[in-house]
Amino acid sequence: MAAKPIVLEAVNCLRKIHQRNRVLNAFVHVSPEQAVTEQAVAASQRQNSGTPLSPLDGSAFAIKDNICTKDMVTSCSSSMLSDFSPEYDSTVVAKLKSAGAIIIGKTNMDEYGMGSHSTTGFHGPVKNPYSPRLSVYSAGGSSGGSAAAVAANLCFGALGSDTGGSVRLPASYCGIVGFKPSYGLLSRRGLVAYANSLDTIGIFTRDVRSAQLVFDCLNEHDPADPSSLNDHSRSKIKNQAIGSQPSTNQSRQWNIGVPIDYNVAEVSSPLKDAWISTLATLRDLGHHIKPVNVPSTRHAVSSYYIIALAEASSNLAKYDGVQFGPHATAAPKSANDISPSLQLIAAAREKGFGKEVRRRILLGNYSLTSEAMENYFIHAQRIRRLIKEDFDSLFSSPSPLNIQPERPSDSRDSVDFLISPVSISSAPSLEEVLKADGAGVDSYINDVFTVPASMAGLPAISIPVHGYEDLPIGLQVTAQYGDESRLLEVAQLIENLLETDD
Amino acid sequence: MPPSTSILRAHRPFVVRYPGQWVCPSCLTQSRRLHTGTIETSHLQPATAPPPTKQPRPAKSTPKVGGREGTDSKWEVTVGLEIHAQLNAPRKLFSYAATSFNAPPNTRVAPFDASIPGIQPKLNIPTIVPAIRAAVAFDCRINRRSTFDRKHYFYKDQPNGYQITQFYHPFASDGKIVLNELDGLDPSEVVEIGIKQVQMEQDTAKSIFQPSTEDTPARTLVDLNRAGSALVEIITTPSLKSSKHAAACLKKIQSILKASTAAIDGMEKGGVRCDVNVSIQEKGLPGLGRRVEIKNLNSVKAVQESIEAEIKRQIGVRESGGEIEGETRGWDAVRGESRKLRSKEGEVDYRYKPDAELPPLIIDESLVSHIKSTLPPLPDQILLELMNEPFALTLKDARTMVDLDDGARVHYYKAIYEDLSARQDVKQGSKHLGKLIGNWTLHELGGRLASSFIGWLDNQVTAAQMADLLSNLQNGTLTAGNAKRVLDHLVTFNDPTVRVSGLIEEYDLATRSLSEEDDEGLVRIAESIISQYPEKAEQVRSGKKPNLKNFFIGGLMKATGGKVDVQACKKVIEKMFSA
Repeated sequence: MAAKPIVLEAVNCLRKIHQRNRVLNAFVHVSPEQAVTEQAVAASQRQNSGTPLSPLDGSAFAIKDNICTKDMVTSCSSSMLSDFSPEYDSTVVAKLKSAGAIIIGKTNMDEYGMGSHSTTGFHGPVKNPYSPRLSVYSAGGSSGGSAAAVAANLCFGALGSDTGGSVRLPASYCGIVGFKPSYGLLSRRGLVAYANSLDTIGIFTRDVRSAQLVFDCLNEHDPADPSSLNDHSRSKIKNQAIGSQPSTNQSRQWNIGVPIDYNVAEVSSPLKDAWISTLATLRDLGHHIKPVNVPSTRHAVSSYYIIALAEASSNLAKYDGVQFGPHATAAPKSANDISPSLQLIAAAREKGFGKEVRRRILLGNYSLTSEAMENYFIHAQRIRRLIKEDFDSLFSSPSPLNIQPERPSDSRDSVDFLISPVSISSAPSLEEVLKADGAGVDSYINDVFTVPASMAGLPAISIPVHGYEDLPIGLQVTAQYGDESRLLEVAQLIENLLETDD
Repeated sequence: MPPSTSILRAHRPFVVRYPGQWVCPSCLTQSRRLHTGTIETSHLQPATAPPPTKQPRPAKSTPKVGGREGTDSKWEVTVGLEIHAQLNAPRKLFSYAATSFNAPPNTRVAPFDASIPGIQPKLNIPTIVPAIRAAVAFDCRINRRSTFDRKHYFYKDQPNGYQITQFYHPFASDGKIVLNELDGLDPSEVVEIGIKQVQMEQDTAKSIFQPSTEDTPARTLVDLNRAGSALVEIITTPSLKSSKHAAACLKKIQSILKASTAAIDGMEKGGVRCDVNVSIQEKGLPGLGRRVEIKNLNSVKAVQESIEAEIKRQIGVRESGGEIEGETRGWDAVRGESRKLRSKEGEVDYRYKPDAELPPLIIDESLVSHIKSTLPPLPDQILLELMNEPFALTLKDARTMVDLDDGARVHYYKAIYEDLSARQDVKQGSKHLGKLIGNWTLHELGGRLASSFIGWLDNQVTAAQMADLLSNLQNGTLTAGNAKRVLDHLVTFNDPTVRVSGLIEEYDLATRSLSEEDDEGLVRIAESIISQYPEKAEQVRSGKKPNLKNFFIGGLMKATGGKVDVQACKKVIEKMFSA
């Protein structure tokens, strides 16, 4: 990296954004050229004097528009927040800036992250840079703008957010690396909440090594985020990682699990081929491939939607037209039994939220009502616990979050990672996506591979394995909580396979 | 069943132990005390509530609408209270903004209080200290592990669209308070009221309606200063049997909150708010009847009257063959009646859910035992102490003393007592010292301060001055009348450096000493008075009108300018007539 002069690189990014963004619609805000150039010059001087702030000094980053950036509108692609210009930088953006990174712009997304194709926002849909001339493909969502920006070489890397796959899916569709670390490692301060027990800051880069650099830059305890993992637990993870290092220099033999429950009929055949051939190559390299059962994942998607939507209905309750959103001045028709002030709030929320967001809020609110709570929300929480227990019983290393000592894991059955597809197919055309919009919750099937790791808070990464001729597609590697170092190691291994294939 | 909180605890809970730097109960209380401002006397006992003109107080005529409640009527009344009290904490519950009730609008607001997107709550650990003090004072079990939940409803004074509270797992439960004679119940009555739970939660913002003016249309202004301040909600079991008990219970809860320094401001300042649940059931039938909630009551009087009116309303409905609807009502204090806010069908479903990102709160036993061992004495303890020897105050005086000035009057009283009882020259026994000091602290000093419109915090008469004064009264140097005159001066000068002995000297108020020499002087004056009224003297001597002696005693006192004690004058006159 940074072989090219920093200033040239940054200026090139801006030039390409101006050339291509009109079509891609990846950026919704681009930083002024003067500011970008000044920062690039400063970084360049540090580079020349041998005092770079970090390996990322001078690299251009795009930031998803639900991650707060000081004095830069952070709209979540919602007209509710169309004029919200935060007075602070989110912790992750602040960390990037102090590492010398240049924030080159904000990227398009599904409204509040609710969607899988970056089509539900008020900025219009993002287009996949791989789209051939005649048809336009989905960039995936909800962080589609960030994925498209990295895939089209408009920046070095990008930040997104992953609630149920919103980083991994667009990375897969756009043929880049999309990394969702363990929940609690990267600070969520400044990430506008969608479902805050699932929301995770994610990283887009074009290779695994770069993803590692960004992760290392951001991976630190943040006291302002109550869900940020504290230093005590972080050192526990670190010790566990050191303990698992091989004593000699010999290459490792991984135990790789293949979840057979994931082999659903909907998986497209090119994707199945890519999955199988990657596993076969890994086996040829001496790694052990083991079929595993994750029975609870069958209920993962339905439970995920109950929990995510319940949390969304709560987190989005603040957008009521009083402080945020269109301020209705007069109540419309008088609905009986509803107070005038509630009518104003209802009017503002109807106007300020798009259709998908309103649908999800309604579903979420319903699942929390006293009549539905037990059957939906509480039941979903139980399944969430089962999912985590299922994963814990699969992995060779115990979760560092578990308090009680683990039973010794049976090395014959346990695995180090799981490898699965990210989605059921490569990117669908935008036309198909928009047509299916009326299908309601049916489209949620696409989340079947990504949701389990989100529910258990596990790290997962999407690696492009099929990036030529056809549309790109990614495979997902999932690891035990906190096992990022080994996850990135195996991700790099798979990435290298792809390069030797070429 | 309460839902389990998120399984994804990627973090350890807050474990709160003692000692910790942040535990400084005295700092916490002092900081607020300074801001409580002048005392309001209107609700206090007559001793300090001086009508500037001495008109007879109009007889209090609260219509006893519910006078028969629960006793000789066939209806069994059940009342439960939900009390919200602002915790005596310097900062808000989940943000660093300072707690304030008088600051200019929207100047005590952290980003979290304003629901800025992306900003998360952070528990301000010191706020739990006064909350635990309250719970311990209510004899609650402190739950080692408690969690936070969200309660959802839309309102302009609720910037996040939800309130963070402790619905499923509160930090304290199963407490009790005992009501007895000290609370105004009949001597035979002792009632134990269960405290179901005590929970921490956020206060709301304030919305202020502004009518239209020439320039602006009618609008509602929102002040976020209060938003997110720490409250405790205290929920009693539905076990109160009358409006009188409910009022006594509310008063007691307030006085315990104050005494434990958990909360400083009472209802009169909006620091305590109360909702009541009322139901009636025919005696002998199971169950409590359908409950009706009355919201946002802001005085003990409103609580008592609204319950009485509600009982009357419910009995009326039932006796005319109707059914009670589960509903929420509001109280109109001016008209003395409640009105329906919403029915059961229109009831808000609060959609309680565990907060997904706040870790559970773990309260370590060490902190609880520290708080238990440092808890200030509670009102009943203080009352009983004041009513027993050596103080021996009446219940009424003891009650008044405890209720005044957040207990500051008790400290003052005790300081005088300690000072006086340590002095050699104070006669023990002739008059009861504890009662004497009580009388002078409450009535003489209290009355003078009140009629001079001096608040207790501005009172400059020191305990030492009072001790000097009462010492001179006790040893006979000052007559009662002159002692009052000295006190007048002390209150008027409002200067702690003024010496009582100096005043006595300056105004020549000392009683003539009763030495032989002065006795002779007195005898001479008495002789001259008697000689001026030979007829009256004769009537005394002959035994016809012995009471005329008092005429001469009065004359002698007048002639000596009130400096001679009445006993001394009496002695001289008696001696002269018996000779």
